[in-house]
Amino acid sequence: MRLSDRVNIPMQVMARQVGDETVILDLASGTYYGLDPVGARIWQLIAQGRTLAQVCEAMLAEYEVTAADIERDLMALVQTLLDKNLLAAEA
Amino acid sequence: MAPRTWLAAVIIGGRPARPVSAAPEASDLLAAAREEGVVALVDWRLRGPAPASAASPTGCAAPLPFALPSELRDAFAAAAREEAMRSMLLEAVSRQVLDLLSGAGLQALLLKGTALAHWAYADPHLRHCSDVDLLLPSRAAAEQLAGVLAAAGFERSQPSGELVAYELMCTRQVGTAITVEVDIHWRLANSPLFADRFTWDELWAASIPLPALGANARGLGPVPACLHACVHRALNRSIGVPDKLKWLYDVELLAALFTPGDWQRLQIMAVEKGLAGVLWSGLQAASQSFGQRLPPEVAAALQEAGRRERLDATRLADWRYMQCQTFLALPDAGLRLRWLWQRLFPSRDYMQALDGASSPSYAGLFKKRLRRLQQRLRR
Repeated sequence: MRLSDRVNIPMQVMARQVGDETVILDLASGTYYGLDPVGARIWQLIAQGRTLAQVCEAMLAEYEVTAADIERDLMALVQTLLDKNLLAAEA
Repeated sequence: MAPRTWLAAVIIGGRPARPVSAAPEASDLLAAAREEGVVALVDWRLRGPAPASAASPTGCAAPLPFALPSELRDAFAAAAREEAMRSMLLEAVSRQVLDLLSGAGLQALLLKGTALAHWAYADPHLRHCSDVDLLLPSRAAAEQLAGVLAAAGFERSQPSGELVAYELMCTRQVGTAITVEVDIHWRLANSPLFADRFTWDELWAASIPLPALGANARGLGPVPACLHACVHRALNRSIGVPDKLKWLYDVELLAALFTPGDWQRLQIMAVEKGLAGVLWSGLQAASQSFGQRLPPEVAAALQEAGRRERLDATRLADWRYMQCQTFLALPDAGLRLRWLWQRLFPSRDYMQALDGASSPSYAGLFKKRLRRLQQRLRR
């Protein structure tokens, strides 16, 4: 997975905002997951169809973090979500 | 202050008289919120003022004047996440059912929380729902939909005799542990006492689109929805189910949305349907919990009309009285006898649903039913 890649939310995955968190539901398994406010913001940007590089840019503008930190955290979160089939890599 | 009163005060963004400090009291609050079906609503208020775009019709919450124990906030937040999960699940099932309806060329209206969650509440998960409720134009249409759902993997059951409950139930398992229920009604109310007060055509004509659930999704219009909420409450009261805050808050939200024209339509419809007393009782109960001020002229007209109605709405919780009224509401002796038979000898499935799956045989279940009947008659 590279920063220039784009990921999307599969049809069987739904998400709902609960305060500043996001709850994600995988309808295929009936399992749900929670994202903290930072994860929730990343999810929101991905849902808007942005590339991972664009997500990184937006996060850098909104949070006081280094590019290296945000890139590392973003890629780790995206990989976790891909592993759980909550995201799919775009071909 | 009782947990229920505290919860109601938080929900309307008011200021509960005192903070919660001790852990046992905190757990009581969460348990009460679950029981009342308002966990997510309370969590939403506890999180602080809502953004303007998400404000409910009753306005933004004022910040609470004291700090709550963090364990209590965390417990409510965790429970609200579960509510969000359940709400998404029900939304997915609603969409699937609506697609199947469309495919079969059937019309339906979404009822109760299933519909209200998507237009009256700021977020759908704020209205706790345990199932998806649909109203179809006729029993034949309901049967047709049940058949379509069965072909799509739902399991069908008839909870009781067709004069005792005008509905079919279909369930489907999602994932490994969650079962979702779809209730298909062919009358707005599940009792002969109220079943024929509304026609499908008038409800359809007053219905509203629910774009959040798809292009073909429609729900009861605000005025019939308010009357329905009060009728539903009356039926629950008649079988000993106490008012839940989630039901009363539906009435509160609808009342807050009403324009003077809506109040007038509501009053006219309630009087015309012989439901003025039932409506007045529901509005009063909601007002007592949440403090909504009812238009005085509407209140006076409903009380006056209610006094002239055959059903005494001050006796909704009187089981014997309500059973008698239901019996008398049936138009002929044949139907009355059938209703009596269905009440006395319901199906095993129905009794098991009431008593839990542990009860062994029809005889065992029937014995329990007789005991319950004796208790009710003694009261």
